[in-house]
Amino acid sequence: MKFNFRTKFILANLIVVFITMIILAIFVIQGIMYYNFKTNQDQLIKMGSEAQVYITQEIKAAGSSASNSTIFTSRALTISEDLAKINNLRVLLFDTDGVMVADSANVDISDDIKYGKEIEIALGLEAGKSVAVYKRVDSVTSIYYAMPVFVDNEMVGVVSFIKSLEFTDAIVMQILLLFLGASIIGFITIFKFSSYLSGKILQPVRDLADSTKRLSEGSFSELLHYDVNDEIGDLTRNFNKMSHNINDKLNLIENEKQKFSSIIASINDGVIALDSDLKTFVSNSKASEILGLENGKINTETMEDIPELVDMIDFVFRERKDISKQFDYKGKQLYVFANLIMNKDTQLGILLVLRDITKIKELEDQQRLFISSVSHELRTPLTTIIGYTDLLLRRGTENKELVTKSLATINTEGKRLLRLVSDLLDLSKYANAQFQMIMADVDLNHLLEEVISQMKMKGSKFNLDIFYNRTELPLIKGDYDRLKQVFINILDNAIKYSNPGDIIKVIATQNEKHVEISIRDHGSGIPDDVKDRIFDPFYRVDEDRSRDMGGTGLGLAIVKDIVERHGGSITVESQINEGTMISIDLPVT
Amino acid sequence: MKKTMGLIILILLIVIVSGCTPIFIKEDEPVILTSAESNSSQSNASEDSSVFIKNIDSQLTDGIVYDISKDGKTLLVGTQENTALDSTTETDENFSNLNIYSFETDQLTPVLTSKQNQFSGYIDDKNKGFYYLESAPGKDSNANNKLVWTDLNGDTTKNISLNEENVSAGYSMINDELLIYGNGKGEIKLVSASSKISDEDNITSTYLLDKSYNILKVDYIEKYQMAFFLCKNEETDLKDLYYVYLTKKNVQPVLVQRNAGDFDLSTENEALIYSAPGLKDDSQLISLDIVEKTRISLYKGYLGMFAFTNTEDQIIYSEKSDPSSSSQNLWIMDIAGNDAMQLASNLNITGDRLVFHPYNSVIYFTVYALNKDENTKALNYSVYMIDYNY
Repeated sequence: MKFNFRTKFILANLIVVFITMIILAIFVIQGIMYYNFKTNQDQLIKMGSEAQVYITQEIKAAGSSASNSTIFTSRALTISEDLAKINNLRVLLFDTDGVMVADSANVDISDDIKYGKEIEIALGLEAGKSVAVYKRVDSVTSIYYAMPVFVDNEMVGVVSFIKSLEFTDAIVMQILLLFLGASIIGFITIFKFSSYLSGKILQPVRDLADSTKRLSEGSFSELLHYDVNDEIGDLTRNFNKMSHNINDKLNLIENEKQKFSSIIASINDGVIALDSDLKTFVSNSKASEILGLENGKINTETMEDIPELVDMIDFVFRERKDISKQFDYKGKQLYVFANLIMNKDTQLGILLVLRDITKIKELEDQQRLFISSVSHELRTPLTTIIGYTDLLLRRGTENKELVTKSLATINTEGKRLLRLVSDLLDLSKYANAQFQMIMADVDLNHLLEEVISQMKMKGSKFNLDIFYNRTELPLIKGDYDRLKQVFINILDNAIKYSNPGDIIKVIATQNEKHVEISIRDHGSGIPDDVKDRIFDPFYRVDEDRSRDMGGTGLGLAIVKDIVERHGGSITVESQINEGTMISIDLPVT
Repeated sequence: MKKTMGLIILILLIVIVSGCTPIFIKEDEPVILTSAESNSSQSNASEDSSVFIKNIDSQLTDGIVYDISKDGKTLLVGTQENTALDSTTETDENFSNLNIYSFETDQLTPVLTSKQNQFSGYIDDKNKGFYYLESAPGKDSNANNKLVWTDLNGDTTKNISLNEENVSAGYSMINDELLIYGNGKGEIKLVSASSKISDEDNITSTYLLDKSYNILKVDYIEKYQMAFFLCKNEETDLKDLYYVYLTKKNVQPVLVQRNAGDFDLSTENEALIYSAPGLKDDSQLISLDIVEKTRISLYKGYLGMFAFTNTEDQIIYSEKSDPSSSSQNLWIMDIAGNDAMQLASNLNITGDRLVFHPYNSVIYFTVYALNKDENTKALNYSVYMIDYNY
């Protein structure tokens, strides 16, 4: 059976009262009995002394010539009655043989008294001594007192008093009943008082207990109100302080944690922190993204699936220095940095920083390809120019045919070089984030008609026609010149790759929020595997044809750049020997 | 837990039960006691190994004993008489007449048969007579006590005090030559043993106190001309004790004790013993050094009569254990209040004074008993004698 503190408090008080009452009762009763016994005993001693004198004077006053013992015996009844009257108790006289010679009670048979050896003992005592016995006869306690009587140094007999202690017994019983009554009243009083007091005293403790429970459950804003200057008040104040501090600390930790989480989340690289047991305790979403984890959780198994990471972790733990490595993982190029996490001299774990450098790699490859392409494109006309100039230098200018051909070739190649440089500059210009296009409302119909008109002239040289189906089109926001260049480049390509007699169709339609302009040719088409590469700088489906036609390989790259800068998109559809359709979506204002 | 609770309950029950049984008192076991275990500081004569009470005569003679002759052969005893109804008296009054008791003949002989009340007598050995007080019988408060001298045969009678004087019952014979008494007028008179009432010049001296003290008892120490007297305090109706130097006619008494009971003077020890109220309803016996004026308490209890013995090196006193009882015990102790020994037990001691044999350790005092005749309310007085050795 479980007792709460309040019950224990009340029970404890009751037990204390109970034990106190018992001890008090025992003390009082024993004290009264003993004190009463001693007092009566002293009184009996004094009575005995006076009885001694009285008996002596009675014997002497008798004036008889008989022996003192004889006079004692003869006057025993009178003496016993006188002594009983004087002392108000029962007096018995015994002769020197221990035979009772007088009883002040004047009864024939003294069955109500129970003498033991006290008369015998008294007869053996010297003057000034007496004997007393505490007895209980028929539930009545008494003191049996006996004293030898000496007259003229001669023992004449024994005087005995029987002092009833019935009164004391009655007192003791009364005291017992009083204590019992007092105990009952005391219990009731203490019970009520303890209940009230414990309730009052323990209420703040209960509140404190409830608050600590709520605190343990995470409610750190708990505050208690107990404005009393005692120990519980101190406890309450300290509790409140503690609660405040915990709350503040937790807020601080939460803030720091959020900051930390924000920082980690903000890092564009993947961050993974492993403890000494290789369990992840920090990781960001970028890391999950880089490692291609759908559920975002990085665990030990994830690590173990990447042998390069395992090697790096082993290296760091073993060599206790950092390491960085690039490797291929699921089609991505990853750059990983690993180092120990130290807190002063304590090793906490390992930090892994992952960076997806796939695009960087691609960009680098593109750059390399671009440079290579640029170099190649530049070298080709320059080689031709240098070759012909060398020829002229070697052969001289006498051969006019040779000179004319050489100069014409040098001129053509020079122009091609100039176009190449010009396109490169354009590409560079458009790729520059700081390049500002002049945006204004553009009438696409007007622009397309202008471009088509211009390109028809070029197309007529190759027996090509351009057909434009004019429709009602909304104004769009754009850079007029740049958009013109877009359609020039596309039509230029269409002209390059169309066969003589083909018709290049230009169709412009309006969708909900876009205007779609499609340019369709019926040329050789683009293979599917290289379709997406046509917008790469210097990429040509047919190198020779393009070069022959004066192309630099940058036209569609420029187109794509400009279209994307207008917020639009460019797509290509093509079938081999069927032709190609390039579609441009431009957003409506 | 249950076993523990059960054990606790059992122990408690045992404790409760045993609480009512005396723990410190052994039942049915005799215990030897000695008188020293008693709180009383007084001891019993028979506890002494030497013979203490030599002889007792509980009824030496009838009457109230007043004095003993210097030769120890006669006692002055007052016996109770009764006025017979006759034509001259309307009431039945008790009165006392003085008698002489002879130890040799064991006879009580009246001296002056009179219908006057004769009491408080002193034997005048030198002049072969005795002094006594005489007054009209009854309890008439206006009746004057007259101090009278008579010879032992009653042939010659002399008035010592003046008729108008009301002599206090407590007058004293200082020696064979000198007697001192006080009266209701606040006078103390020193009287020569041979003075006559008609010859004022023969009265040794009259000392007038500053107030009309109602003197009840007076005594005198010749060496210091110092008188001690008890007087009635009219306001409190109690007795006050004074001393006064009788060096001039008009004298100023000094209060010794308010609410004093009685006193006795020892010229040998130059000390006065007197009774004074105790802390409760009892009293105490105090000894006053006359010269040093220092006091010591000799006894505390329910005190009765007390007096220095004839040798003045002991004090005999009566006391009672029970204040409601009329029975008294008689004790003797030294003048420092030590070595108290009980002489008698449970006697109805009364009378004016304790009388000591002039040269033996014998004491005479008066005891009373109820008259066995229920028709009379008179008490029977008798002289009690104790021959002791202390």
